Amino acid sequence: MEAQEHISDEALIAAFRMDGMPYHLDMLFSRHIGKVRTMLYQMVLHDADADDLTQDVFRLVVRNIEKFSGRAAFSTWLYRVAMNRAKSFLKRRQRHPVAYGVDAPEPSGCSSLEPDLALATRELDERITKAISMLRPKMRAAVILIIMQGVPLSEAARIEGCAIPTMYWRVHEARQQLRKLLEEEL
Amino acid sequence: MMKKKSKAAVDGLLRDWASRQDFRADSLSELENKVMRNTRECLFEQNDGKQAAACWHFSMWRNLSLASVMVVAVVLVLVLPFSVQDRDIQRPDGANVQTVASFTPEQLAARKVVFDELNALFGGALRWVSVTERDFQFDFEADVVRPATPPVVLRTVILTRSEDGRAWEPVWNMDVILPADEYVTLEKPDAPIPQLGLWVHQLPDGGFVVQTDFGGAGTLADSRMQTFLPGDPDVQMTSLHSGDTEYRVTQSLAVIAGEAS
Repeated sequence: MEAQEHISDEALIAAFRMDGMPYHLDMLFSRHIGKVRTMLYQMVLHDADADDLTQDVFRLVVRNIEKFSGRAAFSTWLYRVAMNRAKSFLKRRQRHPVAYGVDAPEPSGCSSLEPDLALATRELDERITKAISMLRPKMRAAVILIIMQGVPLSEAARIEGCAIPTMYWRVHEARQQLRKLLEEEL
Repeated sequence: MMKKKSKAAVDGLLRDWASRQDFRADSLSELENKVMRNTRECLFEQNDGKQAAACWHFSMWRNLSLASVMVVAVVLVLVLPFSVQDRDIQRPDGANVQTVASFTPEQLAARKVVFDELNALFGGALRWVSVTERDFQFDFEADVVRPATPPVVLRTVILTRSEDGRAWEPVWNMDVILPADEYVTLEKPDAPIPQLGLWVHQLPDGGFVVQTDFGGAGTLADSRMQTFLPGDPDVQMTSLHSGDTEYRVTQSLAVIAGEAS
């Protein structure tokens, strides 16, 4: 199994297609599950929903792995599935939004912070969470991919299925909106 | 310079926020175990023949040719004779709604043809199709993975009347063919309910939940209705009131069996 760590995603898929053994997929998914879950949380801003969507995304990938053509990297395909799933979920939820920040996780490492600082950080996180929640899903996806995840513009455009200038415009617009919403923090 | 600084400040705030939302390692491991379990269940289902994963070859929809247009025309010819007929539902007492909302075998067969033909035309990228007595609309999206569930036909008939006892008037009357969990938004700007969102979810026991969102600036704006349809096919009728206006929403659903997925 250790040798598999050096095998590319695409080679793991090829190996699965040859022998049908699930451990190839286990290895493949374990490489990406953290990032997928993080991106989904940043999209839907709710822990339980992000967990459910993560499972949903990987179920879809298993059921459709035969459809992966290899024209794009597996990660591009996977993140596209994840982002589309999140957007579809947000569309459904838009009329009954959750109260953002109510179940926001404790900032990691907050136990080592002074209580006042921890509280201030938590409040800041809630304001940022609220600001992100006000972005339209496509804008939110652009911010997550490019600013938070550091995905190159061209790759982000492929994930979102749009042209590079469109992706650039979305990030620019999202930044403008966030600048207004977070004026006090800047 | 100021602009650059401001851009860096926004990006910095967002990156710091993201780093503080890190998922705990024990939670990630628990989630990973669930995903592995699901993977095996899915593979078992596929091997068991319940979820035949048909190979999906996306033919470039951009190259739509005259032949494709001809196919759409043929589909139209197939669709319209079996479409829902408005005149049947304009009964003064609305009593015939239940009957109108039920499917005939011919209508179901026609819906299946519509879905299969359009889905083949767009290389499996079809998201949904809606069929009314006058037209049909559809949406497709390339390279999107969809749930491996057979599509369903959801018939939605919405009638309205004022409480002074006037005749029922149709507001919406169409069939939507869609896979479970696909969210569909339909618009009719001049209607009392200008926007309708539909979503169907299949429950583990085989029943269906239908979520209907009423949008736009109409009298039911921003409200939501959920209907439970335990069987296949099944029909449910719901009465809604908004001010002096009464609405009757009848929904029926049937699974399209066969290769369409």
